[in-house]
Amino acid sequence: MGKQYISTAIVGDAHKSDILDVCVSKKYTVTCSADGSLKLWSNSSSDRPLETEVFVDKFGLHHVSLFETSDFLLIGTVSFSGKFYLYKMGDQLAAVDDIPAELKNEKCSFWALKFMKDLEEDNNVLAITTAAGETQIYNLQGETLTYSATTSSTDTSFATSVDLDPTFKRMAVGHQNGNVYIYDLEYLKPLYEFQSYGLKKATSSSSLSTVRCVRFSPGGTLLAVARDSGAYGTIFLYDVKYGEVIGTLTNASHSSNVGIGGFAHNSWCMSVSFNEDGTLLASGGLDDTIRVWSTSTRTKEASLVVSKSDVDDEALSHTNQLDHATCCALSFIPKGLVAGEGDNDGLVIVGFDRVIRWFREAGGV
Amino acid sequence: MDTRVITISPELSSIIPIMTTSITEILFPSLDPEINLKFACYLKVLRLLFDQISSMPNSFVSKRQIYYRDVTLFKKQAVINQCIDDIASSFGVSTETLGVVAAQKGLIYANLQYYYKDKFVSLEKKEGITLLPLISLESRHDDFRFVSSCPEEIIIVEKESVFSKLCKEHAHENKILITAKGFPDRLTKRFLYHLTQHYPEAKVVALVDSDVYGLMILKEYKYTAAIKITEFPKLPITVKNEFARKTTSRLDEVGYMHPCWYVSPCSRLQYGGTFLFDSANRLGHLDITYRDFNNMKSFLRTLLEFEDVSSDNEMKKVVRELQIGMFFFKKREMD
Repeated sequence: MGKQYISTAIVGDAHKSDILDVCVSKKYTVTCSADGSLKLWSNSSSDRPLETEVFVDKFGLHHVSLFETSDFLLIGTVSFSGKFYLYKMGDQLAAVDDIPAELKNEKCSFWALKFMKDLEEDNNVLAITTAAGETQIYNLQGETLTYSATTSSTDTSFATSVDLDPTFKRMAVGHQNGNVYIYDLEYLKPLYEFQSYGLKKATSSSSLSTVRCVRFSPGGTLLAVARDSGAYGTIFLYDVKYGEVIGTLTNASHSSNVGIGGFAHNSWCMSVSFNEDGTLLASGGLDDTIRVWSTSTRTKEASLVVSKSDVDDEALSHTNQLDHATCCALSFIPKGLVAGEGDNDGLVIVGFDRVIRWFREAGGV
Repeated sequence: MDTRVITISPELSSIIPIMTTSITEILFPSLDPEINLKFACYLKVLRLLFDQISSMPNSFVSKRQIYYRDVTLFKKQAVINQCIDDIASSFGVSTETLGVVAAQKGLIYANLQYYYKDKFVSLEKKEGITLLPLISLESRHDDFRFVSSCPEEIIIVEKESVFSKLCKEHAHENKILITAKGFPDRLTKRFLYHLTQHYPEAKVVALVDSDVYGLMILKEYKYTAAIKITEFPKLPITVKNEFARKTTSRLDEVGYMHPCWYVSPCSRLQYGGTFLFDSANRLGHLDITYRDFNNMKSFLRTLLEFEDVSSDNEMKKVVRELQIGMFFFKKREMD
């Protein structure tokens, strides 16, 4: 427990419904919500004013991914209707209608997506998963997407999460049944399969180990996987090169003594994020706790309890348990991104209480 | 003749009565075996109905019973339903005039005394769970006269197992429990409609699973306009206009115009759970399947289209429950 994080900004009532995903670019923090809108919050000022917003789909949006160049910012998002939408933020936010027919296919229910910026700048990729368990790959040149390939996985379980690594050209896909596959991005050949060793129900087909989030470390050597373990949340670290489990991130509590496995969160862990240099991993769960782990020692560096009482929001007078859940998605913010907030890592957290919270590591100003 | 029926509000008078008829022609004998079979069905049903009416006037038979009279011929219940509806509309009478009623599917647990068409009906909790009393699907508001005091709460339950459990819990409270054992039939909806109209102060709550079928059942009770009424303007609870679907008025045999509406069984119904994240529920979550996911997606579309027309807070709850179920890939049953 070496680090301390302090709150830097809070925007309450940021959306009309649950905020389900967040991404950070140089200039903007982008949030998407079940109310169907995308919002861009400016990083340039410490009170994070709303720069612009767009209403995308009344079904609600659940995933967002960014692709940033020096000229513009592409924002990809997916709605509960299974549709993919592309927006471009230059001087102003505009929809990009020219997307390939494969991405407009109404029969395909798209789910999670991820842009990858190639290190040599010529092989940019969009990966997007479907409810049927497939993952489609698109090449991106300028702002034009072209269809490239689809994974030929036999796993038809819902593909819940995807991430791409530009260093070794790898793709990781997590499934509802707990399986994670690492693919070679060029040939879409599955290299490794990581199964959940955890709880299995003998009497029903129900999975107790749904994959919630997969993330490569910067540099691509590690893969972090957030999985359910019954009602709890676990985080596994895998070695990408050799396909081995390195270990789990475990909260030191009585629950680590139960013999089944160590838990990282007392409820489902919905999101994990590496910091810029890969030394830290932040995880957030429905237990309203954010934990920051050292990836080398696999111990907890900091623990942030985010409670609803942080914000004074009259609209939050619901009765549902989930309405109080403060973390659905989180992201590390690169050092020095927000002027005047020091040279330490920052964190942004969004949740079902419709609040966006920013934190940074204490000191370093 | 009831003069109130022809009192037409100004907005209605603009609606021109349109008589729409669709004719099905069946020629016998035919070279098409399908048509011959259909002819045999109509003939058989006519015979059965005639026997029913002539041998026991004023008695009723259910469509299900008719079906069981010749299963090999009818093959499917749907064939019978179509036959009877066609015959009734050809004669220009209601199916009840033919002595046919829908079989009772719904169950009720209540202390309830009322007069229905001047006949006294008494339901007692000490007699246990009973089938919903038979009423005409074309009952009018004035056909009922409720004697018992207004219940605290009317609880609609999706499943019979949960219903039986709740009956034990609420045995000594002034609450009415109703279940249609899954998707509600017309009788249950009609009965609920009249019950809630006569007890405008009673709170009405639905308890359904947090899955796509549970939420569809909730919609069926709360939003689906399926109750045909002819007395809209003078109801104790004015059904929110948006929830009512107006239809073209109908001219009857003696030239009176009957305006009619379709309304939902109970627009003030509240969504009482179970929710996906409900700490009181001891059952765990179940995975949704690909099929569930697609059903949820299309049901979400239906709801959102409906929400454009009329939005209420309960609808937002249902939409959110669907979104959350899809987001977490989970569903949950009532415990």
